Amino acid sequence: MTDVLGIYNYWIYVLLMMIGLYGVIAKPNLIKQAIALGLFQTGIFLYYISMAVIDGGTAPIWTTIEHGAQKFQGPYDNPLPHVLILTAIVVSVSVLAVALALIINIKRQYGTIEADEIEAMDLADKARDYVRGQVVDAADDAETKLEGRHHV
Amino acid sequence: MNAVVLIDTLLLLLVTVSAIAIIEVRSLYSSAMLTGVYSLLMALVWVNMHSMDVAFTEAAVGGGISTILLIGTLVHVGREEKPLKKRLHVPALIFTALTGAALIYGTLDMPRFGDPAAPIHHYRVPEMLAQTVGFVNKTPGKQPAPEGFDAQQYRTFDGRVKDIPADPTDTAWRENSPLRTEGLLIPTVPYQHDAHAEPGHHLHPPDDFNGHVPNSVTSLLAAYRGYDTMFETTVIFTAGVSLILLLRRPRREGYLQKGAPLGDQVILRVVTKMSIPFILIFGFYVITHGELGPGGGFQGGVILATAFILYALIFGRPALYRIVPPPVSDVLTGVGVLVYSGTGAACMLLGGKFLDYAFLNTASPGDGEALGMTLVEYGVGITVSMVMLTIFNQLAEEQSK
Amino acid sequence: MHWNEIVTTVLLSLGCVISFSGSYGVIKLPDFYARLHAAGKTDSLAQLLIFLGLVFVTPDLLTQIKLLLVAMVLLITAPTATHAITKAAHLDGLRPWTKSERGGRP
Repeated sequence: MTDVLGIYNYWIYVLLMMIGLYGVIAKPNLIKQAIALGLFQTGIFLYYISMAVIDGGTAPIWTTIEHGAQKFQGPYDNPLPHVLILTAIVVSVSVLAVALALIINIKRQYGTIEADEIEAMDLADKARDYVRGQVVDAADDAETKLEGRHHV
Repeated sequence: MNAVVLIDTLLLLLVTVSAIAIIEVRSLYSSAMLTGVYSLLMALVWVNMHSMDVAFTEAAVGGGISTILLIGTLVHVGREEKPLKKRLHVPALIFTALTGAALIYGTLDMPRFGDPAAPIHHYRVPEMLAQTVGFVNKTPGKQPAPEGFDAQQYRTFDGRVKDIPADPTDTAWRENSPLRTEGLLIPTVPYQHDAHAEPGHHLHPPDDFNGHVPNSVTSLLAAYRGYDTMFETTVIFTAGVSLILLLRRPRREGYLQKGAPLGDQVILRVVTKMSIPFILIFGFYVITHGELGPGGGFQGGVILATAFILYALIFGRPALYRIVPPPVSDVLTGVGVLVYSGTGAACMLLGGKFLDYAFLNTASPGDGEALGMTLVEYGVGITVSMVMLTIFNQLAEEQSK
Repeated sequence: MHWNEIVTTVLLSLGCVISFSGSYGVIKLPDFYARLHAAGKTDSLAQLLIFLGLVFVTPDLLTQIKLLLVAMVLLITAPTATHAITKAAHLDGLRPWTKSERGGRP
């Protein structure tokens, strides 16, 4: 187990991730949730990039030349996490764009973007449909009974 | 406590504060602006960690495009969050605290920050950086392996690190690992292949890496993870398509008659007209120069889109539709993906595998790789710019009653 | 210290002082237009001083030219952005604060 001084920065990144996660869970406003999801993703990217850093390293763009005058002596950072995170950043903005489009459609449909109000409206619709169904069934039963008696 | 640690701590403090502010602020408009600030600060943190391409992408995408998308949505959706009954959501707090504790417990096993002997720097990456992948897989068309080349040492763990103990908790070997002192050095890695043996080396001056691309991030993105990036471009294309499907309404009459909202403001009009050519040139520069420095298709595409969005904001969307009509931008989103896979198919037609760029230039595989990567980055840039423009157009649609 | 390092120190400190005063003004000033004035100073003047300061310690000519070009671009676009915000507020109907509105206190 490495000592705290070498890994305390990972804890800060975990804190950032958890702030984003709290936003997704706790806030009913859908746009807040979309933004907090972006925060969570950026926290993860930060964690991942920090694993690529090497002591005394520099950006992984080759500057050494084989037989030239200037030779860079130190190590380069590991370029593979950078590659993976680059694509992940663009994926995150695509997710944000589609989420915002869905939120606009929800607003047009429901008139609100608070998740608890939307759930309440859905529940009210379900209750209304159920009650209407009950009323229609009861009316049908009454009608059949009446017809029966009529014939008799 | 040296300067780098101080700057890092300060930046992380600002980042954390702005993250908490984003979550807690009631006005959604302020949240959107703070998201832009958060993205720019995060880009600074990454510059501090020497990851230039990632910082560039985050600044362009997070600081630029995300803010525009959020503000465009807020026009439709409303500006304020409904006030919460309880200020703090206790079950969520407990859940995130537990998850955070579990993650922190997981980080206790990680190598320390900046450790050059960390496992992530072994195995694949030195093999790639020593540019021996062609030998190991016996890729036809690439140079044959030199005499006495033993591929086995690249199949297993890095050959310079010997005698790894079987017990994973016994980490003392990392202290003696030669990577601890050498790091990922190229080209002084002792197993580096002889650059003069590569065909086409006579075409290049000694400091040109035989035509190989110096920006290793772009090189990995376009060549080693080429399939990955191709499907990435498809993901962006899919996002553009879903925006069109979700939000595009049949055009009502008179939509083209709305005037320019800010076109009569002299200062804005003049400065915009002055800046747009330079923004476009800079966008193309970033895409093309991505092989030699930080940059690439994603960043350049976003910058190109910014030029069009600026034009739409100042002169009105009807003016933009005259320049880039929706059919043209729709078709161009697909053309980018076509260019990418077309390059791969061209490599197949020239005798190699899909996306094996070395076959594009038989005299010098390094130049072939550079050419292939340029074409591919242009494909990515076209798709990204047109998709960002499409997304902006759909989100900026006026509310039709 | 070399002469260029002294010049850089002076210019960078001036830039930092103006940045700080701009930030302080954004918090403390009473009115939207006054706050925007403070922020605009930061954006245009402080960045110019900082870039000029950095030019003197850069070893090669190409990077110096690039720094000056970036400073020039920011010098054109930052005041334009400030103007755009101010004009938008004015067209929206926001009027400047005067001392008599709140009994003379900000």
